[in-house]
Amino acid sequence: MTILETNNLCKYYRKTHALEHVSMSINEGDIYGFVGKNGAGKTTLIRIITGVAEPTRGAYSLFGESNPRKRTRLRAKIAAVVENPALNLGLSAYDNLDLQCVLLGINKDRKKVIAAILEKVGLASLLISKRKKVKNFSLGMKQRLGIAMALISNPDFLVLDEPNNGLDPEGIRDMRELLLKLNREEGITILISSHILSELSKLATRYGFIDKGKLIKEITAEELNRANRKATLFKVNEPSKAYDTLIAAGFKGIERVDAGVLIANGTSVSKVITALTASGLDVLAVQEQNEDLEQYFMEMIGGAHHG
Amino acid sequence: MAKLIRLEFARLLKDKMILAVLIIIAVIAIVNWAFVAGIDAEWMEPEYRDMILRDTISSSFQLSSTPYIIVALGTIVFIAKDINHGTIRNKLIAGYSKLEIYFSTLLTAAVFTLVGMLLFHGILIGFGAISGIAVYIDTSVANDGNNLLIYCAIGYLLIMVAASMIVFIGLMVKNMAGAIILTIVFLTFVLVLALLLEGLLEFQLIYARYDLFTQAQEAEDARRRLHEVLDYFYIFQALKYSTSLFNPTDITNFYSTEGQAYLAKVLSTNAGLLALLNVGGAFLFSRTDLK
Repeated sequence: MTILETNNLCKYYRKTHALEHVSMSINEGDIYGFVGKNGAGKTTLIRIITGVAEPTRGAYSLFGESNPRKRTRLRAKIAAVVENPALNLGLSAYDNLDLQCVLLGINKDRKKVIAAILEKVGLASLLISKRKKVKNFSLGMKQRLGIAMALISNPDFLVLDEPNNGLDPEGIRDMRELLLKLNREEGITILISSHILSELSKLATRYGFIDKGKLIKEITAEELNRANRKATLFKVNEPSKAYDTLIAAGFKGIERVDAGVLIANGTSVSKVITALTASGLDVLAVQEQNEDLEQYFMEMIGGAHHG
Repeated sequence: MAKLIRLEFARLLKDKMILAVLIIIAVIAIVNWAFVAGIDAEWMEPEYRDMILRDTISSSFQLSSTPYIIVALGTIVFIAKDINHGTIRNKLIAGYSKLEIYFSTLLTAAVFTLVGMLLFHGILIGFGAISGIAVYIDTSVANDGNNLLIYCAIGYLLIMVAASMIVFIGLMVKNMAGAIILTIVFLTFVLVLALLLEGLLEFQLIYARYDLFTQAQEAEDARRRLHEVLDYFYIFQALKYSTSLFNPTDITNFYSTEGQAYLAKVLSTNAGLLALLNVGGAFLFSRTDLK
């Protein structure tokens, strides 16, 4: 089932084109990593699908429904943290969650529900200090509480805009584990935009790359891994000699680096080792050299700009 | 929508600022009552004490009266906080439309305004009655109790129109400081504009045309005709509550032919204004982007 599908979605603010003909899809069970620079249009798209903003042109469907009225009702199956967590700063965490329960019509065992959700996001200590106002919370605590507010509705689709903002390394790890658990155990589809691409790459099953309001590419994590598996590094005791040897032996796509030589994928590793050892060189290690998500993204953005 | 309305009222009850507003209103009412009740009977006749209390009640219906300004500011801050903190987004994500959000906010604001003003009037009238100060509108009217109720109902209707305007400002101006400033400007501007226009029109249509020594009756007739037209306009209806009931253009007997005609004008124009403001406001809000 397609959870979200956009078709030529555009959003214009006077002269600024925040979104330009974005067509993307998120399937049930995906953890969709939405990658883009600041101002690329990530938050604008999230604002549109959460109903905060209206598109200038184009259409989108949620859970297969594109009729605006029905789509509005279906938003109840979504939970989102857009930009900053939407919290009443003058109230305590408990009161904020209590109000969210009122909005969602959760009347039964409300205290237990709130206690469970606070524990889930690592804020169980707030059950003791019930009176502490949210305005006195750290950014990380606000972020966790925002996630708690979102999760209390047991959503089918979770939309998170920069959820790691303000979190310490432990918090980031906890967030990752929580999201993976929600996806794997509860089947929640997740759309997550993040600047921390290394973190995103540990979560996402699909990616969408956006730049200057345009969706450049959609790719699965597997396709990304394949595309990033670029070369094999042969660490040797004499890199210069190794380079000359392999050139002389007719190997192609060779590059000399400090530790040894890099050879493009597709070349037989055993043949390379045989050629090097036959020349009296010691092969110290063989490593696969992968690009990471960041490099891939930068190359893509560069490509898009040149294109 | 019931859940949305429940949320708004739960939010009102949890908001300490709302409680503070109600306490301030109560204190102002008690101070006003204490001032009137404390007037020495030897220094002032009891009927004048009654009139002072009556004028305190009637002038509290004007938009720039202290009690109403405090209620209006409480309302605007309550609405603006929802937008500023982003909690309004939670309602959208929970599956409610912007129209539903608009009307639930309107209902909450109307109830809060009503409670605030009823508290003020309740204290003044209740404490007044306990201390022997009569509250009346027009002693020549046989059923002046009902007359007073009609007078107050018109006042509340005018205030409800203002409350609708404040909800519109709060939801459309997505900035707390801007919304507060605009609310204060609106509340004071209505009366200033009405006073300026009234003065200008009276001067042009009456004082510049008639010799008041020889054409006093014609001038008075012209003034009456002018006010018959002005009575159709909200700002002049609001202006009536800004002055003492000694004002000759004020209507104090709503059972008279003149009073019934005025009542019809006020009810019809304000019903139209309420519909226009709220339907138009909700429509515009449904088409705007939130923060």
